[in-house]
Amino acid sequence: MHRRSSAESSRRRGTEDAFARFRCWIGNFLSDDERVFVVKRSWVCEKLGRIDSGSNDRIADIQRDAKLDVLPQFTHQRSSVYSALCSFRKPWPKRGGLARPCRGSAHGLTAMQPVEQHDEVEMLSLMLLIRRFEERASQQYQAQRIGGFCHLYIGQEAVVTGAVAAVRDDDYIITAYRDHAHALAWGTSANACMAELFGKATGCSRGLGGSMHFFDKQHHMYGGHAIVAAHVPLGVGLAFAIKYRGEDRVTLCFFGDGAINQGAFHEALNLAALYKLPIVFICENNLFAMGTSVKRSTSLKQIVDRAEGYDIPGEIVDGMNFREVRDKISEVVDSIRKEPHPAFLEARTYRYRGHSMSDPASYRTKDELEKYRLDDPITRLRAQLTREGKLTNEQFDQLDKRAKETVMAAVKFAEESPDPPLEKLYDYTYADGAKA
Amino acid sequence: MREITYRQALNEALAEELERDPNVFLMGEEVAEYQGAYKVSSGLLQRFGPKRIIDTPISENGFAGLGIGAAMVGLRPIIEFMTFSFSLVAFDQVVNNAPNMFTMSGGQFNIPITFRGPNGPAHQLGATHSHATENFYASVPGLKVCTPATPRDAKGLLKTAVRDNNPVLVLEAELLYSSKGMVEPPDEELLIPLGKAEVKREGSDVSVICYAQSVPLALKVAEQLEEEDISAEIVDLRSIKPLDEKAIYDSVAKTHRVVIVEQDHPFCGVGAEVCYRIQKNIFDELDAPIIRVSQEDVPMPYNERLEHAVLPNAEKLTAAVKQVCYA
Repeated sequence: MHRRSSAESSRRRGTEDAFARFRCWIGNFLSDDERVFVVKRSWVCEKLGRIDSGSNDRIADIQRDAKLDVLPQFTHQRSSVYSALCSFRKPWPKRGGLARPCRGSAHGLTAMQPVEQHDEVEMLSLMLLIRRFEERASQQYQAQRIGGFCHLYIGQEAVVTGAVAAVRDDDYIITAYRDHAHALAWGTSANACMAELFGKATGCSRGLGGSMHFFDKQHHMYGGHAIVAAHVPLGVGLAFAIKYRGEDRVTLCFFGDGAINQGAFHEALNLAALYKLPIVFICENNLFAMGTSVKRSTSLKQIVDRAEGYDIPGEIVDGMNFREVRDKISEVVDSIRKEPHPAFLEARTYRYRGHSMSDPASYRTKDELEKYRLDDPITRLRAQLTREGKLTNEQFDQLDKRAKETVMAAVKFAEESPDPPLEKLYDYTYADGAKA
Repeated sequence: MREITYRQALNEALAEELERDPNVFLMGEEVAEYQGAYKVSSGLLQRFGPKRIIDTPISENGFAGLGIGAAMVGLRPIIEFMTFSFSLVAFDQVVNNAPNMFTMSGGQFNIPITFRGPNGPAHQLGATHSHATENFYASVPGLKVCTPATPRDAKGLLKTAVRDNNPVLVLEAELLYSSKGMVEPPDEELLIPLGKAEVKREGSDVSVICYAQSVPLALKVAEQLEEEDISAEIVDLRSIKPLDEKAIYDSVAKTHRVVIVEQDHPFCGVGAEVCYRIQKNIFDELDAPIIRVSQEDVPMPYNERLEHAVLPNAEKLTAAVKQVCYA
């Protein structure tokens, strides 16, 4: 009789236990029409050779071997197989009930409305403000009134707006160089943002930072950082300070899909997980790191799987959907406030413009862009609110008009503001004003 | 005053600042349970607990950045690099994030952080572990750099660095950790300001400008030169940036001859800057061209004899002094 070695049978038992746990768990995430073949990655390599070359016979073999009695049906779609294979991440903390938006727009763009409604309408108007601000920035850049680099956020508005709706006024934000929207969302005035682009003394960084370096201490906006992923450890430091002081704030750390292959990113995730720090890493996956697509930059099939490597709960969210972003972040922020831990959210989004103003984005097709434009985050939230009777067309037009006026006023403010004084050139190198 | 080692002096400075300010914490590789790779943080974990004395994985970029982030919201991190040769892994954080933040934010965020650890060639550690980083870092606006050479300076400068509202690098001298010197008793507050040099030995014939590991070297050479009737004044810079120009000029105005002995490389080294400033500002006081003694311009060899040849040493310094004195 063939006898298995005890090591092998114990390994086998371990695998079966893991399968059972995984099967139970993944069931929570699947809707009725989703069909996923549940099997561990190493098994696929062992049994099928390649994950997309499975035949029904072989699958039946695995089913028998692994004693998977409630095996969901196999689908030949590679992507769904893969997403199941990779889902060994820590589960995202779920919370029952509605999301609890906490932080309103600081711009007073809407007249006060009943509490339940004003949040979403106000957030829609914040999205409009961001959109109109970026359009105007683009125009002013072309008119050569804005220098250096200028990276626009158009198309991605639902991500930062969803985030701000899920946190409190005293929560921290830190982000990369595509930062205009993050400052606006956290409460920096359009005037201070536009003046910064113009390099004026009234800018949010006194005209010393520029487009990529927006800061606003008053609103807990910690930059505006232009070296890809170099700010992710800083975000971990903000979270460290929160835990050190025993506070229940949360740090939201934004970065793009290009950041996830930098060493600083990996070191930061490991430290956050090791020290259990209150931070949500939010990857704004707009599919391109400058002109290099995720497919060409990243060995993983989906970015969120970076979280798995650090035992951090991870989730994917539709970054074009305000409500989905808000609810996902809201869930995890609640959990973090109770007991500090890191979390990782991949927000799938799209920027309509090139990487920066000088990029015509010839690495992608018009069709692709058009596809995303049809899924516009502003149009989507507007439609949701209109359908639910919370917003009329007239009201929307009014909001848009107000956003445009705010931005036009900001341009005027920036134009009329003075340059930073030359005689103060040395005043911002050392905090005590000392000259070295 | 009592005699303690350089290592003990640093340890006292850390303990006193941790005691004084709850915002101060110490973070780095092996600082807690191992008690410090060079035992500088010995006993601190037991005294202040794991919340404030924090071991890290080997992730210099990560934990240097963590410290900067924590400093943005008012904590006062002390980040230990096991050696400053490893700080090069975190160069982006130390050079691009820490010193730029105050300017980039228009003065909203100062970074009160201390980066400390051994710096400079030690003994037969080879090229990767022998970097003297003072000239790299001193060239960056927004950073302050000090290089204590005695236990007293080590304690006083480190304490000042922790209280400074800017990023300060305390470049300790690995070869001096066990050296001894007189230091004020613990109940007497010892703060030595950044940017203040100290004349370690008075002299009249030549000014030997030095810092860190080159200070004991200069003192030893000065004693030997005394027997040959050459009186050398030893000026210990203590801080590279800010630089105490007045102390340099005062000494040069007295002796009219200068040798600079530094532990870094000659090209764009600290001595080049000091030399430039002397000739620009007090050219008329000079009776001879200034000579610099530094490392040779090669990566550090492992072989002991070659290493000695690369480093500034007594023979080279003696010869340089005699040359400027036309002796």
